[in-house]
Amino acid sequence: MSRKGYVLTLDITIALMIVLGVLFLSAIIINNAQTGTFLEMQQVRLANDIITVLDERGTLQSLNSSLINSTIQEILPSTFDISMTIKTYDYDIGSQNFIYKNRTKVSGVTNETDRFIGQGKRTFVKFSGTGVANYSVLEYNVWVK
Amino acid sequence: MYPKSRRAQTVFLDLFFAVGFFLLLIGLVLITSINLKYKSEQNMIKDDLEREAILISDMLVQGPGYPSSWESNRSVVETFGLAGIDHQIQFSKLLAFKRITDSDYNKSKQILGIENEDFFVQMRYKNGTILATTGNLMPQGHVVNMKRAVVYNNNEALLVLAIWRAELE
Repeated sequence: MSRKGYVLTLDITIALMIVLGVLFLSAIIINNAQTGTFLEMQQVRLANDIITVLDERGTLQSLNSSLINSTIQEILPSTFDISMTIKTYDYDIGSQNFIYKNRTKVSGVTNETDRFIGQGKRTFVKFSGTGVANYSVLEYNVWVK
Repeated sequence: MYPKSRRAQTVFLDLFFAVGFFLLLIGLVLITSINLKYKSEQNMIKDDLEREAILISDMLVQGPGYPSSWESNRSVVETFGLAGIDHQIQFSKLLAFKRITDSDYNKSKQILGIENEDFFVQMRYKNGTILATTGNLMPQGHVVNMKRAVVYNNNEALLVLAIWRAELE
């Protein structure tokens, strides 16, 4: 009788310890699931905002990397960093092709691979007196410092 | 008589420890599950707040609101929007939003769809000069901040939205 009771107690104890283990694991997973997502979304939105503002203010069209960089640094919160590459093309009407003209690189570089890097692309045009002067494709990376 | 009594005491002690340990485990399971439930509820509220902050800031900086010229007749506003063009904040819309919020904060919350939360909005130039601040200026608890880069008066500016729920840690 006594032996049987002991086995049952051990049985319940092991079962409860397993339940406790599962609960602790769930707590860890729930805590870890929270980190990052909002910050990542904010980071992507902020980068997109900045690119939109630079485009609408005409700063991007200047293709002046130091001007673009200084404007970004004024708006971008200090916890973030951004890098971008602008590839500029001319349009050749004769061949109806885009001809690569030059490349402008702006701002920081990160070699970190273990963190989230938001990426985006934007196409914009530069107008001259007679029409479109050139077309540009901007690619950016944004990350938390 | 004596050996019988001794045996009974051993069994009793065994049972006492077993029940004690069992109750301790049950208690731990209960405390952990209550704590887990509380944490997951808090996380869900935080998720809601973050989602709301993103949606409201999108709404404010990307569109003109509904109807699009709501600032000229503030009583008809259904959706706030401060941008004439995407990311270009219009003075008249910003002023109308500030006036509505200053005069009837709860109405603003209702239009923004955040009756259970509190918020404030601040527009400032990149050099820190504050252009407008409106809403509840006493944030408490877990505050979600959203900063959006915009154009105001042909200059780069920042729109800061803070949203919180008082009971959230």
